[in-house]
Amino acid sequence: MTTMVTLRQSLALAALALLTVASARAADREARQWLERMSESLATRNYDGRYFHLHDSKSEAMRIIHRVERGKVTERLVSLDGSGRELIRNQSEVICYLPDRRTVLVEKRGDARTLMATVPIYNEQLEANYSIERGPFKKTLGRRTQMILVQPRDQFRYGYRLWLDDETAMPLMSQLCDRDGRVIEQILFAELNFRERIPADEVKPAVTGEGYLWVQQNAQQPRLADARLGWNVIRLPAGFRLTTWRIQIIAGSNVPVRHLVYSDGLASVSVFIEPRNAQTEAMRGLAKVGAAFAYSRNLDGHQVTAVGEVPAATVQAIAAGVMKAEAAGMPEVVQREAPPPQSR
Amino acid sequence: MTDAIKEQLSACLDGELPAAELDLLLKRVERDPGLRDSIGRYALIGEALRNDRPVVAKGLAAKVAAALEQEAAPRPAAKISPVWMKRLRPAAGIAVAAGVAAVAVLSVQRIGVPPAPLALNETAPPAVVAGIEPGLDSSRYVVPPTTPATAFVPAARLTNYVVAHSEYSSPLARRSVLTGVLSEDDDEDSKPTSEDEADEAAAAEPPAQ
Repeated sequence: MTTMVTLRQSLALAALALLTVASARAADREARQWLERMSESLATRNYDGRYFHLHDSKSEAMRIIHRVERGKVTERLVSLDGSGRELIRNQSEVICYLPDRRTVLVEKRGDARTLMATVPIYNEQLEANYSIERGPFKKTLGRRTQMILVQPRDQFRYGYRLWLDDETAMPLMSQLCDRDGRVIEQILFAELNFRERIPADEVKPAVTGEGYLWVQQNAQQPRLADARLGWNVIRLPAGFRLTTWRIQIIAGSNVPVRHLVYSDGLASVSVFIEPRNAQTEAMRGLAKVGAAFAYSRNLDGHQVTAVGEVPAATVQAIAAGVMKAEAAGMPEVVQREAPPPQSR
Repeated sequence: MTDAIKEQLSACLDGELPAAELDLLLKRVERDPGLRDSIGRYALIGEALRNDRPVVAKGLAAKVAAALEQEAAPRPAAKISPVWMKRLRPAAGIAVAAGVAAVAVLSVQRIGVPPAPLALNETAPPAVVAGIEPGLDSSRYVVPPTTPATAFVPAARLTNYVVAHSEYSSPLARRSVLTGVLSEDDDEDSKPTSEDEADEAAAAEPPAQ
């Protein structure tokens, strides 16, 4: 009798557990659908807005103009804090105008195929590294928003708290948080207008850059089949894997740089490897740009730098794991899903 | 409160007000409760700043936010002034709304569908920034000097890397990374001394007799 009861209880418990799992899965799916809607909105709509970027007790006001014309995206980001800095990003390049430094920085974009490899896909695999849940509907900034919580499962990545507009799924407010929920930075829209069309003039820079120092690549992009060749990262933090790689000329130097991209499905870390230039000062240790950390070290006459919007420990671990493949004494990282680098 | 002051406030929130005028404006804000009410409604950045960190303001927006927060007190929702209406009116010229402590203006333009105002009022509790005691003499509002963060000044090369990396970030991460590039500190003094500078220093020394 006792056995029967226990058995029935266990069955009931098991059924309950299954139900809980099933409903959690269903909820997760809906949360992920919200993220997909957000990505689509961010990429495909014409919009013009102003937001505040808050981090490390600093705040900047920014304007963003996002224009999509015949499937081609041009985005203009303008600092409203008096420096006059702005950035134009289109299909082929990213141009930063830094009037306060009288400098213009031009970075050629990678080809579409390598870029596609790193677009986040909000699938169940992502749940291995993050828990993705819906929070409550809330009034945020005067609009009805759905809160989405993306929580990291360990200390090697950041999570997000997002307040997505119920109607458009645009993130009206987003917080980048560490594993303990501490806010690293926030982006907060004060104004956001969706427009049917945005004239091309509005995504043109306010300054011409005439008389400025233009930092851009002067050499041809190298034609190398396998950019990873000879280099590898061992002991990657859990969940990170190589998603794409290329050899490129980075603005301001004629030396080809190996660029390897590691991703956990949401966060990404770039590893740059280039021969050490005796003329320039070596970069060493940790640095920070906005919410991104960078960690540099020297290895076998090469400058190795890992950069990513991840905790310092992650760029540090990845930079520390960089090895010349033969020195690593193990086979090259197996290629998974990454497209072959384009040889030109 | 004159329209001139309101325009000044508007410029200030846009970060377009010279530092000298800003100080003057902040003093006016202290004296004029009407002005405080008016800008208190725009203290939306304050909610974000209420982030249990001491206020070490750097940008103008942060200065203003800190000033607003210091002045923040419970107040009833009030009508938005025409100047603000003008300032906030989007290109389509439709959607405008005010909240007590948080405001967003958002308009959707569609073909064939007349756009409607979308933002609504929201009442939020007054915000108090940690590190500033409310109710104290507000003229003591001080922007603490920013600490030079040597390790956090990125070299130009690093900026190039970060921009190259941003193309492989998720859309959200890219926005924050690129915003970081545009707002990056430009404090020349805090850069580590390079060999060039050491050479220059040596060259500046008068030759030994």
